[in-house]
Amino acid sequence: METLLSLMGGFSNLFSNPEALMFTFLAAFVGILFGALPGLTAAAAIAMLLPVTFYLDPLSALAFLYVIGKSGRYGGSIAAILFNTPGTAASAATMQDGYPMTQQGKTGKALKMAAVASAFGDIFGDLVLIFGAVFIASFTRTFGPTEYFAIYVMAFAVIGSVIGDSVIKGVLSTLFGSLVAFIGLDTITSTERMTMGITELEDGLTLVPLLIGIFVFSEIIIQAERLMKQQLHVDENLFSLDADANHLTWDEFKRCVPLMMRSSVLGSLIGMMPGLGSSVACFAAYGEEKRRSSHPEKWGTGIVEGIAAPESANNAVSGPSMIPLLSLGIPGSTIAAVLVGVFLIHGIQVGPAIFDSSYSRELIFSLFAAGLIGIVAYAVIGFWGSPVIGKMIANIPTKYLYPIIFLTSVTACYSSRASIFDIGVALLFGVLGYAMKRAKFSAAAFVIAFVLANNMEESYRQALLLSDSGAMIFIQEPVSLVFLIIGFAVMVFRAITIHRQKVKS
Amino acid sequence: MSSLRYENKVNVGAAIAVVLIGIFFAVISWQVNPEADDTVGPRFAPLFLAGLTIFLGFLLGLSAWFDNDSLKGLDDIKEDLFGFHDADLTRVAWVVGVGSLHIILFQALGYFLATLLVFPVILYAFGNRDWLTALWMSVLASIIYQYIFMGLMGLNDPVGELVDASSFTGWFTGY
Repeated sequence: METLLSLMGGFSNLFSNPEALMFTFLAAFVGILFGALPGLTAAAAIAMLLPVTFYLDPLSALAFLYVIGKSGRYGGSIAAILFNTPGTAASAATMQDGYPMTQQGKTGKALKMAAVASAFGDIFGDLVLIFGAVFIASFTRTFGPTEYFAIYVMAFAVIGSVIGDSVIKGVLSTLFGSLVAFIGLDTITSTERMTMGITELEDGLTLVPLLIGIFVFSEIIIQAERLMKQQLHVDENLFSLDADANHLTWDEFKRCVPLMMRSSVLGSLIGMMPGLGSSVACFAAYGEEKRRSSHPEKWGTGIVEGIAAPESANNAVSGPSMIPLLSLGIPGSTIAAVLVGVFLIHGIQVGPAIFDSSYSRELIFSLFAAGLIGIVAYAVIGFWGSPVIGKMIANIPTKYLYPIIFLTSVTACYSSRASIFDIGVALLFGVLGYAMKRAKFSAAAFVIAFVLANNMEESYRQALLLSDSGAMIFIQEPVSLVFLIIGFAVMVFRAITIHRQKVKS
Repeated sequence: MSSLRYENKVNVGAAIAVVLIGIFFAVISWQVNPEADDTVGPRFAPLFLAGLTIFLGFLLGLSAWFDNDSLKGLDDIKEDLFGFHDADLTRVAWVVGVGSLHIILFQALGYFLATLLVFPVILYAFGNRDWLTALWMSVLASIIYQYIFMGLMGLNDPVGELVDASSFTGWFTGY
């Protein structure tokens, strides 16, 4: 009941802040646009627009980035349905029935189903987040540095293991992120670390150039390579076919409700686990619903169920992926990792204590309200406007689009702390991100580790100061031991699963 | 090495790069002042993680090497965006080169002139060969970006070391 009242307060706070409301609607549109552009993701949009939020009040800034993350996930389905190219990895499963529907002249129906299913899953996921985060935080607020260190180790092990096809590469990605995070002054002793005598490195590397490098510059390089090989194409006639074939009927919607509910539950469960993202959820839901279907042979030929299942699952991930962040201070996704930075810029420490102070509690519930409004906004834009957005994207010449993105990114890097050095850093990480993509290392694990590494080290050193038995404290404390065992078990289980898959193939 | 499958070759290459990165971080973290001998100081974590990186790098290389035998007889598939078989390194160099050029020109000429000069080059790198379009787009983009970032957002706009264009850019930024 208290949570519900806080949510009502959040809505009232949001509606009394026109700037935040405006940025929520703007984010719904921007996210769809970036998500629908093949190659660009919500994370790339957030990286480029992050410096803009430094000039906004905390609620507007957080709402803007949070809603971009949500609508970006949905936007990916537009590219999947229209161009047979997933705008984001989360929409890869949607292609299997989305594009065949486009070929059959049912583009409008497919796009409408995607908008409805995405909003359904997203609202479900947000409700899980709103009630789940407060509930879990009530247990975790007593945790000290020992437990936190174990949680960080578990998060690193889980994120490193579950993202990608190789446990070693995943863990190495987290190690790279941590090593880069250690550059600068040590947080406890203020000793210079790994600065190589470069004055600009004394303050450490900041999130904006790193994100822009890893997510935007690396993609610009890839798009520059692909430019001559691939151009988006959409048949103009597809949108002008039979109106009935493009209309989503009430019967079709009703038929999909139970399936969307099951997929949303699955997506929410996957979202709660750090590292497991939308791309896992969409395939898991698609596979499960196909298995349950009485006509599995129809899946992949262009049926609305084949869109409803993956879309509701991948958007249901969005809300619950914030639960580890709000209850433990651990970002479960790249977008959550960026939000940590935004919270810190505005002087708010994320973790279970966030629900204790009335200011931060009000802010969080206003953010939840913005999330729900953002879902409605992107669903409305998507339901009626996605064909127009699709056409617009197909008509934007890539040879102009990416140079503009390049210039915006360069300026965004500079704007984070008015440093030309940061542009160089972003460029360096762009090349690193490109190499990581080509060698199948995980950029998401790298970024999440970068955000968490200093906190992990701080917890470790604080725990040792409190301990009489040195590092044994992590094994002697039962909660800490449980987290360490979970992390280790997930890593071993994942390694065995991957090995079995290889042997099978 | 030539008997390795493509996937394993890429992984062995990645492993060598990882070990080298690990060694680099181990060397620079070794130079950190350890502060005190009896507590975990600022050197411990980076050194430990660098060591772990080297170890996992070796493990990656060894697993790729020994995996090769078990996969013999299977087709050697070259996936898109895995390894560098489908990479266009000239274009990579173009993008990185344009970025570097922007940094140098930013320092020398200031933001506005750097943007004005670099934009046609990045358009060229993306396949635009119409110089008239490049010209008007560059002028328009540099004015818009200057206005938004330096004017509206009030970012610090440092004067170039060689050219001071602030009296000109002040027309549309208001500073």
